[in-house]
Amino acid sequence: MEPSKEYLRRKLSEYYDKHSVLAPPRIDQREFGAGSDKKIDFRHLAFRDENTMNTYIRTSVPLYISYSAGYYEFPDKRPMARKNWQSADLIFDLDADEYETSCDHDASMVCDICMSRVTEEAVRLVEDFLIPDFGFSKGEIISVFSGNRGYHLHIRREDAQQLSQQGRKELLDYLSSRGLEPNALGFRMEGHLRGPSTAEKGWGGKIARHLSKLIAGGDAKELAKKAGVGLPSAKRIIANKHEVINGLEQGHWDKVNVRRDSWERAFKHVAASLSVKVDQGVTMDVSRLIRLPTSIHGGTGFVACYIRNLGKFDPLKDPIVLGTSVERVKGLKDMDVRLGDETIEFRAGKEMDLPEYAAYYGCAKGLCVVE
Amino acid sequence: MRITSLARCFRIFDINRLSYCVRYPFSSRTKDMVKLLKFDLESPDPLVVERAKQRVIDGVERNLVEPETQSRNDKILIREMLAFPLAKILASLSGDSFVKRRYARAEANALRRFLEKEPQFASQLSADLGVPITEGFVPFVAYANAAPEQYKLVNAELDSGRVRLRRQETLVEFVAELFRQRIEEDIAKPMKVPKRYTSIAAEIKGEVNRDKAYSSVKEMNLGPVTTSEFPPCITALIELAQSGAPMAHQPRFTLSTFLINANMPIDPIIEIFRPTPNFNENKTRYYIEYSMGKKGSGTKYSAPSCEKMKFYGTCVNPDALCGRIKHPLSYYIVKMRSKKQAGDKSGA
Ligand code: SF4
Ligand SMILES: [Zn+2]
Repeated sequence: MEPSKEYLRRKLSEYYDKHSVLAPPRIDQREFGAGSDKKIDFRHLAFRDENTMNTYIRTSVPLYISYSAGYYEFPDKRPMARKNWQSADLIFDLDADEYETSCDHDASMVCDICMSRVTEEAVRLVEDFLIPDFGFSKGEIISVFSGNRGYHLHIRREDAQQLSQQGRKELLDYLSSRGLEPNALGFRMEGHLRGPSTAEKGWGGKIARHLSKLIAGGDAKELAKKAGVGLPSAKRIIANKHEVINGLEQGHWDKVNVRRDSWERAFKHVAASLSVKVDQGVTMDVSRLIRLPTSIHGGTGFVACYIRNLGKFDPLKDPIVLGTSVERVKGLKDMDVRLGDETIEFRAGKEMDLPEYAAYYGCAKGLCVVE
Repeated sequence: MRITSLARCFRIFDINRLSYCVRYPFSSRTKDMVKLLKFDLESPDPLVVERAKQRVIDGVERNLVEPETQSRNDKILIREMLAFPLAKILASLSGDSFVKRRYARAEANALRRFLEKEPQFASQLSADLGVPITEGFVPFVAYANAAPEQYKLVNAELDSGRVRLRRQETLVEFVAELFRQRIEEDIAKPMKVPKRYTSIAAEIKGEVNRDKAYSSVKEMNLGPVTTSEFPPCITALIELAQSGAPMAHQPRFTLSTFLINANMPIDPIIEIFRPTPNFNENKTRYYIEYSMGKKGSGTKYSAPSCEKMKFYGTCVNPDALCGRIKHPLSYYIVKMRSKKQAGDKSGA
């Protein structure tokens, strides 16, 4: 029986012998990191071009390879200060274990429920924020599968690369609606209660439009729950829904007798439900190393592939790249895992024949060993 | 003097133009004028050097650079205008991050005060600082990088990558922050200048009174302010702030207005609030400057009276003296007076 790690590296070596990893743009200004015991055992690596990078990968066969979002004058110098940082791509990292879902497996695993939750969040980030508010085009938002349980969005537009850490923090606060102030968005008494209209740009309009949609639904209970207002207020709003919706279109917020603080509460409640959650550290840290797109994630055997259409991506099927030749394995744990079009039933002590990609996945996750 | 003769022969230095250049020493108009004057770093006017040095020291110690803009004398205005680039050089050469940071902030404060009176220049000045504003819109990257604390991106009208600056105050704050960052960047870079400036910068480093500027409350030289003579209600509020407990608006307002009116300098006041949860130095500074009338409407707020304090429930442990006064500040004044008298007697 071959120890698992050696098996994994042998499989990756076979893969990298036949396939090349794509160089990220401006490869000569990037720092690289590689690891097999940990995600990163070595960093401060640098490559002149795609060839030297692939030669390195073929000779040392790391389980994980990552590269810097940042651009440096001297990417291999150390300590960090001597690299002379120039700028950095804007990165968003979404990870399945960040979201509450109904699934009950342990944190190292994923399933369709948590993966569709993170996919949905990534789609909202793109469609509700990055495109309309920040003005990035679809082509400028490069979606990459992380190789395990999430996504990395890379934005390499020149102006975005110039965002300072403080600037990146402002972006994150925008996405999470942290620091949102109803007063700053135009809530004020001017004879009557004025606030943002549905046509307004930014968060004000987003919230007004969403509230107006909830009200148009006509369900007081639903409104009370989703907008965080009391049921009596919600009933009053629904009873006068046309006036209220008309009012919101013009930024008049007191078409019914609902107190200002209730509206402000609804405002914050709706904002929280519309905001998106991304890993703050990855976006803020302009020297962070991120999984190299088109390399293999050693913990799954999946390729960190570029994704054309996020909404249609199947994270348990599309990134399968290892072969289908049969391997005999022995189960270590009881677990059902969907991979591609089949569900593999790992059972402790049970021997079975699996396609290479499934044997790799099982070994890497500690669900089986290769005989 | 070289400067005057130049000024005389060109006759281009209209006083109003010059005053503009002094108020906005980074504007492209000023840069053109400085170029025209061919300021020579090798043999500078000693008065310009002296003024530049003072500008840095005032900035660090008092958060105030007070450029001379009112003069009708072109010589004085030109000297003031040239003092700015030299002050930056000196701040940079000091190699002291405390001096650099404080100086940059003081320059930005001066800019803010001018712009609040004449916001019509803000747009042009933003462009001079490298961020053109088109029909009231700023690219979001520029905005996010210099978003003033009280006008966060999350509260901005962001659409298709642009932020709409609807209110003049937002624009003014934005330009001031842009300017502050620009100075910090400029003075972070190493500069090649004649040796003499290095020694002047070292003098600044030595002369700056850090106590006056800041450090912790305990090490603070509060000048005329003596915390031991504060009324019991204020002492309780200071203890509350120092304990790290959250403070509601009213106690916060009471404490800061009292301290302001007792003439405590702004930095120690900020230090008192430092242990409070979610403390944010910029926000606190803004808030205090606002209460001082330096920001916003310009009204200086007075501290609440004993009657109001009782109403809000912030009057605690009143003592005998409290029975004779109607305002916490009177308590302090009476105490200070009797202390001084006692001191005079014992000294005599
Ligand atoms: S009487 Fe005035 S000074 Fe005395 S404790 Fe009350 S509020 Fe403070
Ligand atoms: Zn799951």
